[in-house]
Amino acid sequence: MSGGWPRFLLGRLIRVVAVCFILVTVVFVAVRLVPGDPAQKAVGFLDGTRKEKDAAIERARSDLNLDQSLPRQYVQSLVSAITFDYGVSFRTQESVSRVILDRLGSTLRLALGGTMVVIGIAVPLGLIVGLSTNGRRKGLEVGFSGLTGFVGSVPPYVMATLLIYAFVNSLPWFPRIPEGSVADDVLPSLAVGLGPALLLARIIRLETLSVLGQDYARTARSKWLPSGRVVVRDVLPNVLAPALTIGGVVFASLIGGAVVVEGIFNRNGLGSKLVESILIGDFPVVQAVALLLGVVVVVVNALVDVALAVVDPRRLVT
Amino acid sequence: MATACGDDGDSGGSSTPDPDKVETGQGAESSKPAPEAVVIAVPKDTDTFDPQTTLAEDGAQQLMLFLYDTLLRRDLEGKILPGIAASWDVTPTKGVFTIKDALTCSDGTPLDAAAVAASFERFATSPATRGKTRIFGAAGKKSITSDPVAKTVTIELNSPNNDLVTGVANAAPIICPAGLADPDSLSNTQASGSGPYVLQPGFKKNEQYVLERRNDYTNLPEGTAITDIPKTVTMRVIEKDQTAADFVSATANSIAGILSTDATRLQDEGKLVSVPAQAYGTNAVLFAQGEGSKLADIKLRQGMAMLIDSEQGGAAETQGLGVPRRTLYTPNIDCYDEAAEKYAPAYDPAAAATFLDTAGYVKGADGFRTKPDGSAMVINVVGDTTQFKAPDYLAQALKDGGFNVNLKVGTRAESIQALLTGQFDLGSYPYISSTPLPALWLNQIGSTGGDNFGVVNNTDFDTSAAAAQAAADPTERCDLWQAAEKAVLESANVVPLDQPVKYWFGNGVTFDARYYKIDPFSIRSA
Amino acid sequence: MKGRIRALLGTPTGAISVVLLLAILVLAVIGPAVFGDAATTTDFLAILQPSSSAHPLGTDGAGRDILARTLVGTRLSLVLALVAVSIAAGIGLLFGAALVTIGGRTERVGGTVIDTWLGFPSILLSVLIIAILEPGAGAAAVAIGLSIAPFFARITLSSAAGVVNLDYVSAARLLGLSRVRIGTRYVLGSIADALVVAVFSMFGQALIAVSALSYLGLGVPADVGSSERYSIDWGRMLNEGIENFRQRPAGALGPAVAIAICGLAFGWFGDALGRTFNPRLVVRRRTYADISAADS
Repeated sequence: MSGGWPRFLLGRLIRVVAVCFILVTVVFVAVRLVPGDPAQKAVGFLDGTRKEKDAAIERARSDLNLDQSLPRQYVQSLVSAITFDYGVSFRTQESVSRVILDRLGSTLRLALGGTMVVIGIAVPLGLIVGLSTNGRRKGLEVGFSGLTGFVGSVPPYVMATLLIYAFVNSLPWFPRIPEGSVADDVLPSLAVGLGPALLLARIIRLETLSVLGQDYARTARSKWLPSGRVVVRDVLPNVLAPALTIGGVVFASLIGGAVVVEGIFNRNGLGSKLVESILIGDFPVVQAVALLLGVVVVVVNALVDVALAVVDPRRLVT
Repeated sequence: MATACGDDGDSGGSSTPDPDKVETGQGAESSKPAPEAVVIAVPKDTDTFDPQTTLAEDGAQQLMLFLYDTLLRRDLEGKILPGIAASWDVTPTKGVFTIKDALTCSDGTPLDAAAVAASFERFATSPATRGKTRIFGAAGKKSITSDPVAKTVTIELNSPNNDLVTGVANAAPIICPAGLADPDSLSNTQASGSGPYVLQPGFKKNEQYVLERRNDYTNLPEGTAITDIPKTVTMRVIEKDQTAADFVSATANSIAGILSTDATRLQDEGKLVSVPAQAYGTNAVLFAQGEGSKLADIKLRQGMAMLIDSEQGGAAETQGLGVPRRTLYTPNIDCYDEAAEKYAPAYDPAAAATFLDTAGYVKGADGFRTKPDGSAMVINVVGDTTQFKAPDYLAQALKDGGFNVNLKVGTRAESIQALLTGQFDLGSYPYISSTPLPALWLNQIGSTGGDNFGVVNNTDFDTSAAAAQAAADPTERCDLWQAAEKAVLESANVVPLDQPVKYWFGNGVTFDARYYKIDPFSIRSA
Repeated sequence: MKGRIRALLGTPTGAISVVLLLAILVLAVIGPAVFGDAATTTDFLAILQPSSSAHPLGTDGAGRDILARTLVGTRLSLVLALVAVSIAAGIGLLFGAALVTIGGRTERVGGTVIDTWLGFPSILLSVLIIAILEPGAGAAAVAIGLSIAPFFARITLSSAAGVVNLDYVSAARLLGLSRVRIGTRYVLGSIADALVVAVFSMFGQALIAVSALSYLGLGVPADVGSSERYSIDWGRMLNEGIENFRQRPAGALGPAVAIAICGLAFGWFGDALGRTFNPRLVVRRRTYADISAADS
């Protein structure tokens, strides 16, 4: 099936490019829909006479290319997206690239940690419960369903507060704010990962049951093959698909989405920066970070697709 | 709405505030030197490294204190002490300061009279600098000169300003020549001062700043040796008080200032050194009262003042940790008079109802008070979460009084923006100085003041305050300042709510503190 | 119908969820009237009080009774979640179904758009939308709805794409049925159970999303005075409760438990309801006879 791969990869690549293009457009439009004059906001904190302020606003307007026609601005934003030239933040005058790079490390560590928590808990848990129930033990099933439903509904930042109370205040095992070691990332990763982990565990259990219930697995077992073999050969591959998919989604969404947990642990992440910038109207930062996040999502999804195709070459067709 | 616009001056001259009034801020005594390294938690990042253009919120104020020196210094009791200047001769219109020998900037260049003069010149003339009127007065500087032989700097003003000395001591950090030559880098990349500490490169914005002690620093206060102060000071940005409270409990040799109810818990636990510091001044209700605005009508403001209870409002703002006040000045401020309370409209909702009806603000068909011409009126109350429940209390008090209220509680950045662009009708604002002197209000309430966000135009206040600044005799000065306070309270330009208290805590360290910042030279092991 | 109800109540989780949902609904209707006064009476001089006979869960940062607020908050929280999920399901379904019906390259690119939309952090999307619309209850619902929508679009697309390839749909096409007819009758009908489960399981997520927005001050704005009872939602309560967590944990635990119970109840109900559409977990394979019989 060697002809399948190049076409598959090319198709994915084209789609990635197309969606990035759509992204730039959507971000461009969205940022301009926010009410208020960005030039005014950029100058807002200036101390001076009316005339000085007006002049400063005019300067800001031309710096931001806001005095040019919309189509030209659009083309400019496309060009700057490709050349990675994102300008400077209004508020602090430092380059947007610098702003992003400063926060990338902490953000990546949380995203990786959270993803590891999700997959590391969900897969074993879902497998074990699936394999041991399989139609029997109704009590365990209800208990599992209840526990996962309950904990899965706990918002990440409530989880964070509880974890802090348990493992920082009561048992001083972890630091309250980042101190520069790996220990910084444990509680935040758990806070963002536990909920999705339990929800994924449910899906994995369902997949496990579905595979065990299907004919060929039953046939294989009836031929007295050890159940361990069945697990590895039939169950795991089917479980990998949702695990990888959801793992990918979790990773991508944690790159920007852990705003509240970041706030509680006093971490400086991309998400909080984006929110802050949207609220004060810091155009350049919003455009760059939103675009970056979107691209991360597209790329991660494409990579997950490739990984899934590696596991199951039948997927090369779609 | 909260910009921590800190300092202002008083007539330096002969009077020093009564030590009995300065009741807090003094840490426990210690004869041990400071620990090698200390971490200080600050609630907000600094906006710049330029002390003349900063918005002066908590983090910025503390950082500037470590990196920059001033011509003069003030101790906790209010006494003026030498700083960069060894001696001084000051009148309300002219100040002559003799610079100490052999002072250096953090980059090694000498700090002489010419350099000091250049710093003041930039402060006085650049449009980007803030708060220059506190030192140079509204009429500005006449001249700033230096004499290399006599090693003096002479500042002459266009009109008299009693606050010149204290302004110079508190609100005029000296920027070194390197910084003046490169203001852009001064904004973002590095500080340029002559203070006891140097900012290390590799700092992380909104996270951490590491400051190293300069061993060639000679400008120490009398009685302090260079080895007495910490070698390394780390400033850590921790946004929430709850987090800072956990941090200071768990981290040895750390310091944090707490405004939330976590302070009570930490005090009860008793494991930390506790240094409560009362603010000089109050949080008060700020009305947007410029010409043409709804609240330009004095009767409307007075009616609203009668609906607002300082006890409840103060408790709402400080979660019960502050002191409710109905006067603008507080007991720890020069010229405080308890009796001034009577000038403010008293809290009396029943009387307020009649008063407002008579003034023409009757309730319309929808049950809400309308303007005298009958048109509908919505009062926009704006605040942020650092004010706890004060915005909610204010909105509720007014709503109970019959007004149609729109409450908007946002982030601090948003409320500052609303403040600066005039998009509010009222909110709570800190009329708080870092020194026990009333002159700050010239900047915040005076009609030409740079921080007069409410666009207050009270000619009685302007006249009395200006005369107070020019008065030579201390008794006359206080009489005039009290007349100024009376004018403001009677016209309900502001409605005082509470005097906040910041509870500073040290884990294994003691220090002296004011409301906004701690004294860098006072840190010692407990 | 009777069989359906029996299927619904048959499992223990199904039965419990129905009881819970009824209780929640009753609370939503009568809450503000019955508990509204206790929930909105402030006392700034008695904030963060511990449990007492007057206040079983204590008071919050403005001196109001926490238990009463939790009960009153049911209405707005539920309405917000309902509107948000409805918007999400409506938009998501339409978008997904449209893509399947158009098919071809549009469907593939559309699928990637959906995945990107889905993967983009929902809170950031919500903040952007609220920045455009100005904060309010409506804006919050729309923002959350739009950020959850891709979830439904994805389910529709995946399940529908799978179904479209099944034998009986090909047969329907051969029999000359229009694309739209195939779309609504067979495709949607077949994925109904998955959709129903999805709708109900997203309720809890919607509630949590509101609380995250409130943390940033972008949720439902606070009202004051007696009418505040209609603007109480668990999200805002949760945010305030966490601010004062060490002093009064009940302030946060009250709404957190309420959200969790609601999420659980809706989730179980959705599972049970889904089962009534489809007794076995596997899609029933229909024969040609079934199709022609159903169509004539």
